[in-house]
Amino acid sequence: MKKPNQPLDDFFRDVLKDHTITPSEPAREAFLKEAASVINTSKPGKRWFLLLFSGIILAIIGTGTYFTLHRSRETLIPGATKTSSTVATTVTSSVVYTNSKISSPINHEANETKKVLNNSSSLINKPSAHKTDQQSNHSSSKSQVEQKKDKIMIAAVPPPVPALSTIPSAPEIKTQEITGKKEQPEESHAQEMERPAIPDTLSKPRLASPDSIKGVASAQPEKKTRREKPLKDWHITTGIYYSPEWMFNTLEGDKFANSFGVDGTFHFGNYSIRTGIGLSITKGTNELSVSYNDYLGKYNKLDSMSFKWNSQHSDLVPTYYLSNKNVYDSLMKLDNAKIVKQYTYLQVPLILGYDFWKNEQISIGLRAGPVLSILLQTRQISGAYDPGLNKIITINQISPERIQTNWQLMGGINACLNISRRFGFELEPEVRYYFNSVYEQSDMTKKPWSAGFRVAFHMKY
Amino acid sequence: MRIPGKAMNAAPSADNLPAELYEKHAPALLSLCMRYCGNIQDAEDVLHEGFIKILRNVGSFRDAGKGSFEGWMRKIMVNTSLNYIRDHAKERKFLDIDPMEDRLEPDDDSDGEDFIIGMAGQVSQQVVMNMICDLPEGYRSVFNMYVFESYSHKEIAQALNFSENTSKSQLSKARAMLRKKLTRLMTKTETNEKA
Repeated sequence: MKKPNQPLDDFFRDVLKDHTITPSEPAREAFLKEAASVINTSKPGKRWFLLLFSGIILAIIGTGTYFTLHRSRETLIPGATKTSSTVATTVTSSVVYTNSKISSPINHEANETKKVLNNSSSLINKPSAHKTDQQSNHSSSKSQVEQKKDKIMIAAVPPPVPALSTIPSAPEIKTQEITGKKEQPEESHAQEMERPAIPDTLSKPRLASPDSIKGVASAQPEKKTRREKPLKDWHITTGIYYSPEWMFNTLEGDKFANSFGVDGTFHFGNYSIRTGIGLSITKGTNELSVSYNDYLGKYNKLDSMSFKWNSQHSDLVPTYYLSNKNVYDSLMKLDNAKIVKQYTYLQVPLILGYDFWKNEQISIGLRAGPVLSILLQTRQISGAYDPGLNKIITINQISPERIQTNWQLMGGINACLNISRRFGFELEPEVRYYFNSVYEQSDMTKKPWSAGFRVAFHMKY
Repeated sequence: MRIPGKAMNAAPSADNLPAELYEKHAPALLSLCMRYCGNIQDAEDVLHEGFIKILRNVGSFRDAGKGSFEGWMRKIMVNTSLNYIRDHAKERKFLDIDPMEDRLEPDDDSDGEDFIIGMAGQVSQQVVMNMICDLPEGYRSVFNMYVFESYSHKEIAQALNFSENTSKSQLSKARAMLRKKLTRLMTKTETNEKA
């Protein structure tokens, strides 16, 4: 429908058709300054480059952390779980050939191993070294090549921990020294020359005395047998969680949301899949635009009147029929009212995880995955708008309604502390990016994101 | 890179785009913002915000590839102005759309407006702009949207979150107020001429 032609409208249109106002110089400079940053950040190529670069940096850090932790575990944990007799055997074996004045890389390795071991090993080393000196003097005619061969074989073959009775001759002597038992008569130099260093001992194990076996066996911790049990490489945990969350980029500014629920996690190796069900509760303000007319007062309106003839006084008696009428200003005013509402969402996460560091008590890993939020309930928790005596013309809702379904991408770092074999705590700092706005009108704001953490208590099955 | 003046189906993408856009379009768009905001400080704020939005979304205009670039920019500025007014109305709480001194009843609009046609060449742009800026915020927004942006009452009602009748009523009151101001101005001019 074409608008009716109004001379007044045409007048204003014509006069202001070419009207311009030159912006001030500070305004221009401020715009150009901000525009430069906007253009730089909005270049898609640059954005992808930044994402890629961030990904590479994260991958490098992750890989570095993983290998550092992995290597330190390999170095420290086996040493800590070895029995004292094994340690003694290893060190003795190393020292025997270190003193034979043959320089070899394995010598350095043996020395390094020696350094790693604790001081208790040094107590064992002293008599061993003494014996070794004697032995090396006796075996001075042994060729260097043969010595090298022996040493390489010792270094290559791991010390047989359970079958201590099969320890070769030289280590056996040292073991007996440790246990304080009388040593066996030494083999003659000739016999030693003829006997191969290790294969002989492996193929023909000597029987050690029962006392020495008992002494060595008593030094082994009981955990050794437990560790050798085949570990179940998968398990399931269920638990409860609570997660406070601070949301940004919402119409009402920063928002706080509380989430809680139950979840279950399937662990296989270092990987895990977590899902569950929870509730997220948050508050929001809804703005109303109210147009109204002010109440000015009231008056008695005369609806009708009747007259009755009074014959006694010979006059007319009027009867007035009145009604109360409120008076409102013709001026329409606008008011903005706020109503506080509480929103309850059902949350269903599907989180994938990878633990890059793990031991029996603590595990640390990455968690990422989508979370589905469904609006369950909206409840008004503040009072309704009170207009008083004013006359309401219209009430319009300014704030858009909350969206019914929302998808988020969650990423975080999970730290898990097992307080017993069945129970454990989890702490998970996390960041969420909302794929769509939380409002029906998505153009009202940028896509929100949030930061928070999740605290969970779980039980392992 | 120069931007075509009429139909800009392909928006520019050069690095010096902000400066060129600003030099070319800022004066006209600042006038638009001034009409909505009523003062130069707010108008410059809105212009700044609007231009940033334009820069951020220039790609989407290019992808859509329809309509005029100037029209698109004007629409962004109008929306930014309305958002700005609404945000600041929240701070003021009350949006007094009709001062008591200028309370006017809706009139028959076009009656007795012949004198206005004759005033076209006599009144400066600045005076007319001041008249619009002096309107209460509610009247000003409706009048600008209806007269300059050719919005319908339905569109205005949707954009400003009130009823169509409110829009009609506010437009009518705005016109009445402007007509009164123009009559006063005319009377004053005639008195000066006689003197």
